[in-house]
Amino acid sequence: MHPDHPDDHGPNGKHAGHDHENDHDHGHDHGHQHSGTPPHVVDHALPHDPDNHSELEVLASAGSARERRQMFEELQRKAREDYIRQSGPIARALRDVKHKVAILSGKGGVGKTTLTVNLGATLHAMGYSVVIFDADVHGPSVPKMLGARGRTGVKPLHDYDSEEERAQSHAPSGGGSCPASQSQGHSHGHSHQDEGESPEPNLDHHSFLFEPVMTEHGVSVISVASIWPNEETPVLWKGPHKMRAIRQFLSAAHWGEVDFLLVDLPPGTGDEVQTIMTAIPGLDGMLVITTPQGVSRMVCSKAVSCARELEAPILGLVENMGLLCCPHCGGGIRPFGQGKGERLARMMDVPFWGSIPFGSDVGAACDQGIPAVIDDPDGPVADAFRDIAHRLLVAIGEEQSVTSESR
Amino acid sequence: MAMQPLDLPEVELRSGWDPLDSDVERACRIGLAALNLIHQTLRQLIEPQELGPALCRLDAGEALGDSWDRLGELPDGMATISLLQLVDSLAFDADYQLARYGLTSLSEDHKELLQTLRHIGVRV
Repeated sequence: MHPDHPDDHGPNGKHAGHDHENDHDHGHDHGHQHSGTPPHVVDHALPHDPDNHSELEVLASAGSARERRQMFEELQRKAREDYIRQSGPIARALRDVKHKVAILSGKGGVGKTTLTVNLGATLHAMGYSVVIFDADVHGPSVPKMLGARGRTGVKPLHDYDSEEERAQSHAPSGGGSCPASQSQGHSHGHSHQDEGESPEPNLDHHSFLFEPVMTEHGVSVISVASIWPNEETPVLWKGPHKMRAIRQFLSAAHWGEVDFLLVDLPPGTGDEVQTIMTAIPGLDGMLVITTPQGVSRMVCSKAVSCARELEAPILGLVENMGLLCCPHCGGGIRPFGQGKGERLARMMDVPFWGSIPFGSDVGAACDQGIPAVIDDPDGPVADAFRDIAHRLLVAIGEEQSVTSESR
Repeated sequence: MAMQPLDLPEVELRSGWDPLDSDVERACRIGLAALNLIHQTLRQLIEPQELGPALCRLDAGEALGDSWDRLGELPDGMATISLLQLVDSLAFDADYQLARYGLTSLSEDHKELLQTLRHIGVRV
C-alpha cells in the first residue's frame, strides 16, 4: 500500500469514500466505494504511472484528512480505470489488432460512415486486413453500406474447439468465464489462484463471442445493430445500458488478428464517443471529418476539442462534400467555397488530409452496399481515399512518407 | 470451487398470454432474478459491489449464447435478446457503471428490465 494512504478505513479503500455526514449523493459515493478495488491493482498501478507522481505530491501536501481521503479515492479510481484499460477484457480482446483508428464527426450526416467504409475498402485493396466496428447505436449503417447480409453471429465459448482457437478468442483459461464463479464471490473478479505471483485481476466474463460478418468486399464488420434479426428494429437502449453495450461489444467480439480496426463513432461528443475514446487501449488516433458548411465546421471544432480533452490523438481532418462533381460535364463546383476544411484544420492545428469529392454515384453505390472506391476505382473519389489511406499509413508509421503519386 | 448458479424465480404470466417458449422462459426467469437483485441494490439491502458477481451467477451470457439463433426467429425474440443482453452486460460492467455513473444509474436498468419483462408478458 502506498505510504501516503490517508485514511483509517482499511487498506483496500473499499469504504474509504463513505462519509455519511457529507453524503449528499449516494450514487457518487457508491461509485467511489467501487473505485478503490481491487486493491492490489492500485498498489500495482500507482508507483508505475509517472502521471501520478505530481498528484501524489499534491496528495501528501493536501490540507485536511478529508481532502486527502478524497484525493486518494480519486487516484485509486483513475489507477484502476487505467489498469483495466491497459490489461482488462477490452485490451485482451483487441490484443491482436495492430492499429485502431476511430472516425469522429461533431455532426451527423457529414459522411463519417462513408469515410469509414471507403477507407476500410481502400486499406483492404492495399493488402491490409480490416474490421469495422459500427458503434453508432441509434443510426447504424455500416452493414448496409458494405452490403453485409445477415445478423452478427454469436458463438458460445465452449464451441471454440482448439486451444489455439480459444487463445485467439481471448477466452479465459480453466473453464468458467464469470469472474464470480472463479473467485468464489469475490466482488471484483480477480483470481486468487495466482495470488502472490501475479497482481493482474482476472476480469474475463463473457461466455460467448460476437463474430464479425465478413462482407464480399473483404472488410468484416461488427455492428451494435446487427444483433437484431430485423434491420428495421430500432435500438431503444438508453443511458448506461448503451455504454455497457458498446463496452460489451468491444470486449466480447472475436476481432482476431487484423491490421486495422476502424471504429465508426456515433455523431457528436456524447457519452458513447467518450466511452469508446477512453475504453480502447492503444488507440492510434481519431480521424475527424467535416463538411464545409459553417455549422458543421463549428461542431467539428467541438469534436476536436473533446478528443483533445480526452487525450485521444487526432491524426487528421478530412473534408467531405467540398467539391461537387457534375454528372453531365464532369466539371467540379464548390458550393460552399474553397479551402474551408483546410482553414479549419489550420485553425485547430490538425493535419489536413484532403477533400473527398461528392457525386451522385457515391450515394447510389452506398445504397447498393458497394463502397464508392470499389464501384469506381479510377474515379476522383477513389483517388481521394487512396491519398487519405496513404496519409494514415504514414501517420501510424506503416509507410515512410506520402508518395508524390498519392498526392 | 466454482459458485453455483442462483436459483431462478418462477415466471407468472399475465392473463391471456400463452405459455412461454422455453428459451424465453429461461430468459424471463433470469430477468426477474436480475430485477430483484437490482431492486435490492437500489434499496441498499445488498452491497453494490456484490451486484456484479450475483448477476454473473444468473448465467445470462450462457443463455444468450445458447439461444441466440432460436431467439432470432421468435416473435418476442428481440425483447428477449435485449433482456439477456442487459443482464449480461450489467454483470460484466456493474463495477464500471457504478464507479462512473453511481448507484442511481441502476434505476434506468431497473425500469428497462421491468418494461421488457412486461412486454414479453410476465406479471411483475
